[in-house]
Amino acid sequence: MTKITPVILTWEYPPRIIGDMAHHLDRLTSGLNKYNIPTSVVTCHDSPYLYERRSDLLELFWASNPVEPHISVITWCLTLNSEIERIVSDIYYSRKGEIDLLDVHEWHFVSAGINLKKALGIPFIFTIHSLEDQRSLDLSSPLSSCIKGLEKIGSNESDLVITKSDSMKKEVIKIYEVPESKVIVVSPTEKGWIKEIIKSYRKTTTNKRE
Amino acid sequence: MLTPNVLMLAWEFPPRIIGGLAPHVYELSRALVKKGIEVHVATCDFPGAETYEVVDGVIVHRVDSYSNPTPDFATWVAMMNVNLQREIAEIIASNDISILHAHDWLVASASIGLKHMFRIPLVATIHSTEYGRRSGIHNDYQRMISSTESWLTREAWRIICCSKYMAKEINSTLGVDEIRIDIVPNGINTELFRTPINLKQLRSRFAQPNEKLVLFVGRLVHEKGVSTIVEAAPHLYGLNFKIVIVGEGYLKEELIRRVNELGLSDKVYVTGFLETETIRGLFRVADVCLIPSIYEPFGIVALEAMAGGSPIVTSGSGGLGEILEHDRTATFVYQTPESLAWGIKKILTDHRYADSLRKEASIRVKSYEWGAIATSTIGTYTRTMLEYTEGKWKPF
Repeated sequence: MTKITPVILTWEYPPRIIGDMAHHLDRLTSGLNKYNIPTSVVTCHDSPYLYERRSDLLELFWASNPVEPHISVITWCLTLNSEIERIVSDIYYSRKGEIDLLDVHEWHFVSAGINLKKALGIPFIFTIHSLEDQRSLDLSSPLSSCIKGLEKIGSNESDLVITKSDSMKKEVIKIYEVPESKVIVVSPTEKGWIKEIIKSYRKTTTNKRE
Repeated sequence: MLTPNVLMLAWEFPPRIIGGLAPHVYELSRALVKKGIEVHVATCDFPGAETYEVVDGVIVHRVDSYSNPTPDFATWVAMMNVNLQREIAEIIASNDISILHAHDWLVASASIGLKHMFRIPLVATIHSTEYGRRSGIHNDYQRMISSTESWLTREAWRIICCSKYMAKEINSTLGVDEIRIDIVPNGINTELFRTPINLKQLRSRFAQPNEKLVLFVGRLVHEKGVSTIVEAAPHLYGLNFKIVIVGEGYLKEELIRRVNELGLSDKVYVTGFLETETIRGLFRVADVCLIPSIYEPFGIVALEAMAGGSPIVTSGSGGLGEILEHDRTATFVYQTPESLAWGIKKILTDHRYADSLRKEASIRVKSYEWGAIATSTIGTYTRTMLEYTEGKWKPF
């Protein structure tokens, strides 16, 4: 079996816990490591450390926002995206292109995922945990409109979309007009979900630009 | 010699003209192309403008600038940068780009991300600072913009600004070491001030033949010192004059009210907005041009007056003091109505003196032609590329 080297982009990872996503990603990286898949996580945290190696197979890169203060979650996220791009580029160049795919969780770092794909030819998976249509109390607000805009480009420009349920898959296809064949369901409550993730990773790496 | 292929990022480019940045990028990019540099400009879209076109050799890419609702201007800028970066990533991937050139904070995040992903050095022009525009930083919104400016200057290999005055401002407000700053003045196309038009007819729209035409062109805002002009008018007794104030701004109504209060409505004409062609013509027919600015990072109006042949009375503040020289190309005065009136009278009554100012200004303005500005800019590009390719330290 050929080695795969994923880089996961997420705005939360323990000890930064905003919601359930941090715990989910902790389970995901542990699961990948159990199958001997070396995993890099690029995330944000106002940590004094830029880099942390937690095990032989798990390393974390902490990004802090280059601009302070911010007036909205959008300006905060989008300036941070440039810093995420810097970190992933540094990994890519220092390891001579050894990044097989990006797994971008939620909309926050979708812009970085798209640009890294265009610039460096790294395929990217967009993993959707929830949609703005479900979260927002006022979908007509300009802020929701921006987040939906980012979810849309993430859904359309990624190589693969992973959702957690059939109902979420249907929503993504309906709201963002994504071809059904591009969206898969991997439920983390199912036994063998890590194997399914690895399978999707292997499938996506075939899109890597050499 | 290294010949750079440049990709400029600017949020405005003709026909999308918001302020002075669009004409600057337009003229500079054309002048660079004339000197053999390949220039791409990535900018925001505009109704009716092509998404891709070649303008006098400049390859222009107009990007969907994000038209959905956003909560505020800064959030729109962030979303616009997302689109800009996506499109430019494809442009760079299919073109041999060796320098990224960002104009102002509005394109900072796109430029910085692209610099790192493609490992191309970045040059940034800071046209003005948030601190300077707002006379200080007063809230978190302004603090965020200022912080973005600081981020852009940290990430840029070299920073270009238009005057020593601006270099000091960038140093003091953004903490940029002056050794990283290149001073490249704004430019002017003097040809545009020589196009054949009926000057007599144009002049007659603003003043009687026997009236001396005293001209002000600029935004009608406090930092331009325009109120001093109205207050100086009563001190011009003994002269037959017409003061023509051209421009828009929040002080317009107040100026008109004050003109009426002083009983000067037949002597001071506040025109509001005028077409560029008309303004260029006014610089050619004016007997004196007033630039009494309080804050002026550069003072492009000085170059326009010099190119048009209008003698200048100025406060000499900021960049004006670097372009102009007292009694050689302009009359320097204090920022008081009495002093301004003294300067106006001196020029209007001493024709030999006015002619000498006009003559010297017409010689010196040539050093601000866009060709010369492009040469200086190429100097910054070449230095950046040399240091980048030959230096041991890389910005990554």
